[in-house]
Amino acid sequence: MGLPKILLWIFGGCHRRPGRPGRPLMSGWRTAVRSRLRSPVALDFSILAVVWPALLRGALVTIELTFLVLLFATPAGVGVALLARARVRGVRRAVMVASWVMRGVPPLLVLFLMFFGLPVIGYRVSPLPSAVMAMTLYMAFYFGEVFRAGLDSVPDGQWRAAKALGLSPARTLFRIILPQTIPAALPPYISHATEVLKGTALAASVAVPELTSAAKQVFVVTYRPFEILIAAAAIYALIDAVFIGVQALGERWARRRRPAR
Amino acid sequence: MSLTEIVTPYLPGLLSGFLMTLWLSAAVILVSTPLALLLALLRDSHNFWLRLPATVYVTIFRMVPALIVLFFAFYALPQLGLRLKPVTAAILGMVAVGAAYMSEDIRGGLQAIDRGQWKAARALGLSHAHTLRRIILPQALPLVVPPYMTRAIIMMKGTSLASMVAVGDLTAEAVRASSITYQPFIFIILAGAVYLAISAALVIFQHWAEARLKPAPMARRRV
Amino acid sequence: MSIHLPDPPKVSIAPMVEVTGLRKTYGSVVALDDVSLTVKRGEVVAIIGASGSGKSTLLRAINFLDPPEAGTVRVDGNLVGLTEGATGARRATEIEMRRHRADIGMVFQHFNLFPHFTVLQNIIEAPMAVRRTPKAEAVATARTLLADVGLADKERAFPAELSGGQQQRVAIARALAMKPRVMLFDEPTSALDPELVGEVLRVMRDLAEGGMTMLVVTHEMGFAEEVADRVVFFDSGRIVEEGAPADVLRAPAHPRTRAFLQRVLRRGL
Repeated sequence: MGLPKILLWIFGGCHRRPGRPGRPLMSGWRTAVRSRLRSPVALDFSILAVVWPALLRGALVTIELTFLVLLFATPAGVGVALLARARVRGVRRAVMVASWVMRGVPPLLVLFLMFFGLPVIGYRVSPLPSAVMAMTLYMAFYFGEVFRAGLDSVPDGQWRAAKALGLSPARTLFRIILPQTIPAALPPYISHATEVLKGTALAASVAVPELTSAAKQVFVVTYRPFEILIAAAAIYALIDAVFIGVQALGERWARRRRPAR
Repeated sequence: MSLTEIVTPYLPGLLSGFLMTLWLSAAVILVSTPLALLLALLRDSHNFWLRLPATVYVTIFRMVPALIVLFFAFYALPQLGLRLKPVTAAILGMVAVGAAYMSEDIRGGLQAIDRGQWKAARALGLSHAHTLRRIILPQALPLVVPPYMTRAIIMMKGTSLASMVAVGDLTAEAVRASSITYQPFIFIILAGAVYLAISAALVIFQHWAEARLKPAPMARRRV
Repeated sequence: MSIHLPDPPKVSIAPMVEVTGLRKTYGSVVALDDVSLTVKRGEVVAIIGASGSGKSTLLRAINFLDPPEAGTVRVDGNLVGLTEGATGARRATEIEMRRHRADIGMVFQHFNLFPHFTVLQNIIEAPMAVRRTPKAEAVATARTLLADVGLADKERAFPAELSGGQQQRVAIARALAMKPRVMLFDEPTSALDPELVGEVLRVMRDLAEGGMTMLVVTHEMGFAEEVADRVVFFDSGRIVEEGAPADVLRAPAHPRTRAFLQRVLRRGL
């Protein structure tokens, strides 16, 4: 089915050049690629000079969406992690089941459930907030897993020492314990944060005007999907780079503050 | 209207969507696996010119949303003269992304094998390929299975993206049914339950595979 | 819940620590079996015994890190972990309990310094948070304490940059910064390399000479003999024997004490 067609496309040029029947495969391959890039439609990145405002608007929505989801899903993840360690067994069970469900269904489905479901039960919510809610709900359990592992990485002695000094539970959590989860939790946290960024592309399906849907809107009109999708991909990579920077900063912070012994 | 009355008219569509999801998942996972293994080996290669393209490929495809890649396969390739059916384009896009992620999972397992194993094999005069095939991969396999299966489940869930490039998979059918009936809860939760069932089946397979591959007890010297 | 309490002592000079009838079980294991112990003001008590005999549990029960199931603890006449009412005593609230704990300094086997804080931050955190000490004052106190334990130049270091002995000295300074009435030491030198034990014991000796009331769970028999006013031998959650160090360590009355000491001395500890 598809595979022969793809192969034919790649190597197709070998036979198509009239007058050069006996060319060796490699050079034929090269001319094939060259001819692919030239025709039937030549690539022309100057289209970006026209469409960049639309892509920029999309990128800003993508950043907004990513930021909001991280803003809500991070504390929600800490909450999930704390509930997963709760003393009451029923609570732990409930968190486990919810986490299993959320991690077993496609994020797109959660997005659709919010988008189509909220109006049915009487809440008219515009696309962006419903996408934020869906992705927060979905990511909270992934972040929960990250912070649970992070909390497990902090020795019990730290809780005990804080308690012996008379520090309050809230202060113990925020000043003593959570900062210490950074070495263990930061790399998976950042990798999930980039998943959030990439996942915001799904919001295109529920009419949020983020980068991917902006790209689609402009390439549908200009018939330049190649150039525009490459540009969109580059913008995503650029935003990704910010996360990598944050991770490097965090690792530098943690270097001297590593657990002693 | 009762639940059955609402659901029945859409059952054939949902069923074909379910089969499409199964087909997409199987195709994506099975095609990605050898590519991922190849990428993992290339990335750990001693030859810079083999390592570089593999690293660039993996980095790029892990930095970009899968949906962009899918759109690329579906909308941009025709611009270059390659017109694919939606299903083929979807599989191509998801394999391109999935193989990049999966190669990282496999690489983790390969790197966990003690370097002494490589040295010992080289000291015995075994070739690189032989060492890899007979010494390293068999030891890495049990370590790779858990992350590999986690990735397989993520890829299975990821096939729902195909619904965005006009493939009639389970998600597409469920969304279509809910937008006609205004019963999103029924159809989307139904679809969610089916996805859960597929991931549960994959988890069961994982446990089975882990049990079969339980590393043979290491020969211990008596002290 | 109401627990009947023995009448508070009538004498004006109450003992610093008064433990009565403490009991604690873990499943079927009895860790503390009706333990009573009185420690005078300024007295140093060394608690010895095999591992698992309940001596560390006793320390954790005294400051209610591991609340005992029965029995009472008084520090300087005040109940720990319980609040006296008109009709008896009830379990203290979490906030009251925190105030009680602040009066009891504790030093752990594994130091438990906060690795993400500098030495100075480790010491001033609790006084500022719990005692509401102004920062300048907390810092001044911390610097004095650091000088006392011989680490004046390390206030900006992070725990991971210190040796085990230095970390434990910081941990002692951290506990002292709360101006505790009594100090509990839970095997403070057991996790240290042998050459670092001396510097920690020296600080503890200084502290004892300064009049601090101390309960020290230790395997350092030399320290027990030299510094402690009294040695308590623990076995299976009970106090089997107690007395002056010379008596307990040189001429133990109880066969269990004898067996333990023989084992320890053979190992050269």
